[in-house]
Amino acid sequence: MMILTENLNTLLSCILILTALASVLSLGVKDLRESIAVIVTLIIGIGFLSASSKTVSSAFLIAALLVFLVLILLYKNSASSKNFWWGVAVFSLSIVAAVLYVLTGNVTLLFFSFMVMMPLFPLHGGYVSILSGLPLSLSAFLSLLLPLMGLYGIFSMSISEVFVVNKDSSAATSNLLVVFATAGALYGSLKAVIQKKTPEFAAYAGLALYSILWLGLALNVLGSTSMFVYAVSIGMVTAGVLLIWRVVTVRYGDVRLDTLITRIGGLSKPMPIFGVLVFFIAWAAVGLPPFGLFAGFIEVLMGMSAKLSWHTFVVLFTWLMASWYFIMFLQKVLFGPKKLSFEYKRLKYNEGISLVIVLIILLMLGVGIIKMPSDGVVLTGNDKNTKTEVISWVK
Amino acid sequence: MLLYNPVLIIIAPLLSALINALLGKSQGKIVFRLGLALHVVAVIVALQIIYKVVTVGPQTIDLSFLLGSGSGLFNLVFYIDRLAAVMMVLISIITATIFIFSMNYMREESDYPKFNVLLSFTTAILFCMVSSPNLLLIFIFWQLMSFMLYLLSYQYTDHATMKGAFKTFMTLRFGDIAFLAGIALAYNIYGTLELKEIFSQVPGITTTYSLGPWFTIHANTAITLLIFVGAMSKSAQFPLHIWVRDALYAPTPMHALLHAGIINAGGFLINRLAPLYGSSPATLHVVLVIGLLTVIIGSSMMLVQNNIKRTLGYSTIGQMGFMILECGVGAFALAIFHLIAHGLFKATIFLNCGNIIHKARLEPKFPYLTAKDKDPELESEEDGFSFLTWLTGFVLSLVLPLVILLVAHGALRLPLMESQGALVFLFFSWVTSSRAIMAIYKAQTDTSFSISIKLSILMFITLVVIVFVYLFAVESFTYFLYPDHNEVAAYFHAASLPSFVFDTLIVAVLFYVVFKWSLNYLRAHGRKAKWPSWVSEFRAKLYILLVNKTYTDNIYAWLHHRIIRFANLIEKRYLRFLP
Repeated sequence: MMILTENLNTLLSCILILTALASVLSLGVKDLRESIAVIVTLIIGIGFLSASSKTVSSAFLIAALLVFLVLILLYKNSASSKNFWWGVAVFSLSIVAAVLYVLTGNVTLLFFSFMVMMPLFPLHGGYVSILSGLPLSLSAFLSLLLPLMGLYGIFSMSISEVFVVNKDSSAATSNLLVVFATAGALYGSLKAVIQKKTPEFAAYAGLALYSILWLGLALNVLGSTSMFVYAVSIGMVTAGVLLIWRVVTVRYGDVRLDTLITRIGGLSKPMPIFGVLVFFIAWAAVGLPPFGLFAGFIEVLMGMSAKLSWHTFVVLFTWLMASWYFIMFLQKVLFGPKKLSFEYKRLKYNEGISLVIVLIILLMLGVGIIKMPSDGVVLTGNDKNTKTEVISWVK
Repeated sequence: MLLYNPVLIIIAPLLSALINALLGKSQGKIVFRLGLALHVVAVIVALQIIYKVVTVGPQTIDLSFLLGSGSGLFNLVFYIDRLAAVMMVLISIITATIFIFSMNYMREESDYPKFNVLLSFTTAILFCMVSSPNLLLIFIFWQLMSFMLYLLSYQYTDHATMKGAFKTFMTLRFGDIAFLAGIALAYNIYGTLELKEIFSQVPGITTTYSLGPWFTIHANTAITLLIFVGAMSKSAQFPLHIWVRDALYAPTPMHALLHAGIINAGGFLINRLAPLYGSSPATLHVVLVIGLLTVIIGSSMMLVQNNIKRTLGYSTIGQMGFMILECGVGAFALAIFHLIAHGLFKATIFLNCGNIIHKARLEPKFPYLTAKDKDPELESEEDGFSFLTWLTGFVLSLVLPLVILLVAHGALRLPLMESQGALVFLFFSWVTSSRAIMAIYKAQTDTSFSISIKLSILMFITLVVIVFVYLFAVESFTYFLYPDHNEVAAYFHAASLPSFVFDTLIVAVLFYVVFKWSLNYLRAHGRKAKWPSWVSEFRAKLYILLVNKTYTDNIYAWLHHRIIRFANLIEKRYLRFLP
């Protein structure tokens, strides 16, 4: 049984507020509807974190958020038709699952919703449709909020009940999760490499990186601190990528990543401050110190080292692929000759500040200034081989 | 000592990077001079540190307050022992020299401050890396170095440069990931990442991994092999050497930094983990084979280049092969000696190669002037041949292998270090002196008796000096870095080869040396060796293979395309129904 403390709730709420602030700031004052959408989802998110022990309220909030997202998807969809329908279908199922949970109290149904929110193959359609189909500022915030709610839900709602019917079914569920997580890591990595649109690229990169977390959850070897640092960092990185892309599309239209250099040229020279910010976000995204993604990943990997197997190679392969596509993203956005005939526009203050917020959170997570409270969960024991704190899934 | 504080060695270059980043564009020269002054401070502190380390003992820099209680996997504490101090002196001198050189060389560049930032930041990272007492802390700076190598490509607007930079980063990243796998395995086995604690546990580890019914690997071997892949990538070992050529688009001072400093990281890493590597003979033998392959491939590819920078690039690969090979025979300190010597001479060559290119433009045959070029009145090549010099060179090249074989089979005992170590040092003395004697022979343009006598004496002195340097200077250096004689002997013992392998190696090199001298003799007399047709065909094929960089680039390109193609097939055919 795990009990989430107030410290963790407060910390996660602060990070959500700062990320929402970054999203709203990137909009300026023009797009009020998008800002309202960010604030509504933020309120639902904070409500969810506060209602951790009231599972019915949590389920209700999940259903409310997903209904809200489906409505926005239907109203303002720009995802491809396949992603759109997958998103609507998966979210609808998730809403039904949350409602059924309220009626029946079966936690497996709620677990299904969390698998949709923190993307797990093959239920990642919702996550992909949100990131690729919604306006970029909103999707930047949701890229953190949804997975964070998923992970928080797994920890806060006695989800271990899913695994305790008997030992065999627990092992079977764990194995199934390992298979899905492995498939998600490989599928997400390969898809991210070939994406020509940045929102889709960010979505598949997120899927691949969150799959590592799912793998750790399935193997039952991770400590709470490492999980939350890692999950928040992925959310911040994907949010950063989407905010970067918003700066580009607002100025130069909806260009494709592979034609960016030929149409616009490298942006490092004509937009130097933007170049520096993109450079540091890519630095963090590649998984280098001193940023949070590196810190989180190292803790996750060391946790998983307790059960070394082929999973470790899947994790390392995913990490290598992340270096590939994020460094390609950096090159495509920044590096290339400046087009003399092209009219470049400088970065606005509000956009710059929004990217700086993302960077600061990533940096603070990396150097441990934002430190997830290790007493966020009640630990039930240590595996004899495990050097990090281990959370038992069995009551 | 006045104003001695070891933390200055990290702060000085960081401060230089910071002021160049913030004020470089606006304040220009003053900031550059201030940057230089900070690099000079780093040199002074490095010299102070080595003095302190020798006289007092290892020094510690505690910056753990910056990270609070840390993650538990490491503390931000730097530990400067003799190895770290030596590396710090080398790095600080080379980077300060490059900084001075670039003040003139790069002044016309609009992005000159960027260069200073990268140079200073890289210097700070190198200082941190060499003084890290924790495997994860080393890795943190190790992978930052990979990223710096990507950024050191410098010309971000040039497509070819960025393509090369991407290849560099991905090759290094592959090594980083293997290193990381090694760290994960080490954490699993030792339960700590602190080097001291790991080394104390190494002898007691009995864990083995089974990779199938016929293959079992000891945990220490698995860890060292994975970490070695990281060293291979950074030190450009075959087949991870491909990035060196693509990194040659950067400005000359960058090359000097890369080839004299960063690329040596592999040799340093193996030295830092010497007790771990010394516990695994299997890994040392793999290290030896990889080093040997890299020597052969790097040196061979160097011969077919027609561009001075590429020639130097492949020369570096060959030299790195030697450095790794030295580690593979257990001569860890010799590898450090080698990397210092190589770092100094390669930095000098790179910083001078601009002048060479300039002179070559004025004189097309420069620098390959033959005796006939210098004296057009010579009628044939034979006129430039001195039998005395040739004979002296030939005989002197055969002295050492005889000594080596006698020592190897116990017929002769050297009152030096442990016999295995003496053998290794004699072997490298022989290889180096043979090369130097051959270079002296080829430099002869005047065949008069007095000159021939002088050159013969010079050859003899060269041999004596090289043997002296290896047997005494390197021996002293070995005991400077590793004061425990038993430890050194244990490394040599762990790396020792079966005698028939060692003899075969000696005979192969001996055959090559005799063959080369004979060929010189024949050429000088206007004769050509009559090769069987298959040899000629093989040479042609070998040439094509080397010109095409042993097709390793093509293999990597093929792999890259296959991954992209597979990903496209997944998206468009196999799993097209999925989002």
